Amino acid sequence: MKTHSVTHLLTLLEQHSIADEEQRKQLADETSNAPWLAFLQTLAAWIAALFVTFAVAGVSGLTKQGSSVIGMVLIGAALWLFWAQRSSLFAKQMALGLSLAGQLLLLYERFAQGTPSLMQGALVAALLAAWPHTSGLHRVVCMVLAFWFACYRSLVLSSPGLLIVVLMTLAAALWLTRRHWSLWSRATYMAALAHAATFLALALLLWRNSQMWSFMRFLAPDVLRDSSYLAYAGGAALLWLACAVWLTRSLVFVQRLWLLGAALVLAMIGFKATPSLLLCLTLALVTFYACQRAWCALSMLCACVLLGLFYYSLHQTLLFKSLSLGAAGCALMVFGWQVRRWKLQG
Amino acid sequence: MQWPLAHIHHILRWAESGLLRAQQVQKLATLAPLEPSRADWLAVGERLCLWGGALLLALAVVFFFAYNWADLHHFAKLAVGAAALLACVATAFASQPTGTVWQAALFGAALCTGALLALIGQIYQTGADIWELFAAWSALMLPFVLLARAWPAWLLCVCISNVCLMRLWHVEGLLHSAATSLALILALNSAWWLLAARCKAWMLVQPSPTVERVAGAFALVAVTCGAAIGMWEAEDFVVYVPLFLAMAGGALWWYRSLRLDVVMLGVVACCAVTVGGSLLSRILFDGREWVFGMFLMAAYVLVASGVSLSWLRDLYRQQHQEVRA
Repeated sequence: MKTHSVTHLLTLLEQHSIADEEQRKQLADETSNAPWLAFLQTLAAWIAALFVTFAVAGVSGLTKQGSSVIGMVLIGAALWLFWAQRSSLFAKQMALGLSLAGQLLLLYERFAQGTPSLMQGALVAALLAAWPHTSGLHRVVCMVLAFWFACYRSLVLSSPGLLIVVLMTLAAALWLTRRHWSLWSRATYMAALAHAATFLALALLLWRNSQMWSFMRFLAPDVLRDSSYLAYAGGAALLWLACAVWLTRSLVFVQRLWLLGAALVLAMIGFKATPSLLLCLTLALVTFYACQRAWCALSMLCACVLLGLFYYSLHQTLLFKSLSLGAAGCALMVFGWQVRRWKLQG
Repeated sequence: MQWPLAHIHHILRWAESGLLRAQQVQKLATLAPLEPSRADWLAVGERLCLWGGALLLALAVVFFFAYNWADLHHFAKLAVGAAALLACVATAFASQPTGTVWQAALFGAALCTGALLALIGQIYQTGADIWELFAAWSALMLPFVLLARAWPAWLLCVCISNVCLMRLWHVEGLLHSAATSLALILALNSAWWLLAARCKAWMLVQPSPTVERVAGAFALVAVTCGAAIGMWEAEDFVVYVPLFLAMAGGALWWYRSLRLDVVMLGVVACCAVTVGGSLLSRILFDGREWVFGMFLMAAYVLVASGVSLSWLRDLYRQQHQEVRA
């Protein structure tokens, strides 16, 4: 038996008389949810929701109020399914699809009408996220929608950098305190909030650094702005340093000095050259601390993508980028050598 | 005692779902702190710093050459490519065979081979199509891949050979039709799939299902695209429909009965739902009112995905139990 397997953990629970047979069976069942299954579930639900929305949109003579009523009926059906069949994955999948279709229909034809309609959408999504007896995945999806609708006009289009820093700070704070709030009675909502903030922050990070963002900013400079670059870079560096200070709080003085020194050097390079990479590294560290391996791996993957996009960034010359990367690489190598020494010393 | 990271994740997740009570979690925390140990931090810190540092330094060199590229002489450019390739090979031969450094260095050599070929093509304007570059690259990297015996190197080879066929698709007059191009992609990935499934022992030092899964997914996606189009036309692509049934059926039998692999079964299920959706849309939309069809399609996607996901979760649970047993 592998020492990191669930079976080993369940055996430990048995040996220390922490959980009885019935509870161990429940725990083993709960473990049977792979992240990629949740991804497939969400994807299928979105496709079904889009089919429903297009179908309702195509009904001739249907008014805006009519589509809203259908949307509310679908949301009601979804909530009933969640409540009545809470242990069935099939019912949860149906309910997720119906809920998404209902929310899309409520917003249908209103999206272009401006901020008030989007705030209504955000309110509905937030209410659904807070509704008891739904699934964790549904809560995460609703929270993502609520964030998105609430911030679309105010932040996503005008200062995505600031929004990314806010979301990253929220995600970092939640993951760093995971072992405290996981004991709360409402921990499932906190977990959904942490997942939603992490997902949106990473997605916005990629979007803000992509070529599409630059191209769209070129096409519509009045709509798409990023007026707060200083806040973005400064926020990223501060968040990185704050997390480093928090994570090293229990170390001895010399080691802490080394680590904070290395963090400061990286913060200075990242502040000037690529704050996005600094944010990705921050997220990777805090998710590692929270033992969220999937998010940690995704953050590292995102960092690799950002390094590729960095080549095409128009903010600095290739020479400056080369020097920044070289300096950061040297700092990491020196620090890695020091870590290796500590490892050998035990 | 120290908790492995996976255990801490499970304990906290169970607590968040309300399956473990606060007292139980606190009791577990008294056995060992519920956070990564010093050894975990040192291990990840060392890996992150050394690999990350090497990557950033390599990129710094690439960016620097890109900055000065126009001013460099042809021979200097070729010398850079050749030096990188030689450095990788030298590092591999200076390290312990089949170790991590050996594998990483040979993977780097496989990458450098492509860079050198691209460089030669750029300098001497050989007139070769881009698919020929990728074909030469996938052939010339094979010695390094065979020596490395690591899944990233094999995966690179699989991907480059696929890019070669994708580029070939765009060359006018070379292939008869899109169906022929798809057949080539299907044949290539099926060959990789069979090779990875049957010859894993000599392909890899450490067993990993990645190459088999990726090649299998590519082959299944290719045959699924053919079958989904074949549902709508009765000429070139119709042959893909029975081919899809045979391949999906074979994969289902292999990964369900002989060797349980839920990821591959997930790919098969996705492909089956896609082809089923194509068939249903042919029945519903072919010259008929589309609004009702859209509702039925939505219902189909929800029901089919719900059934597939429930089945996959049961299998996932079964796979875990088999591992436990």
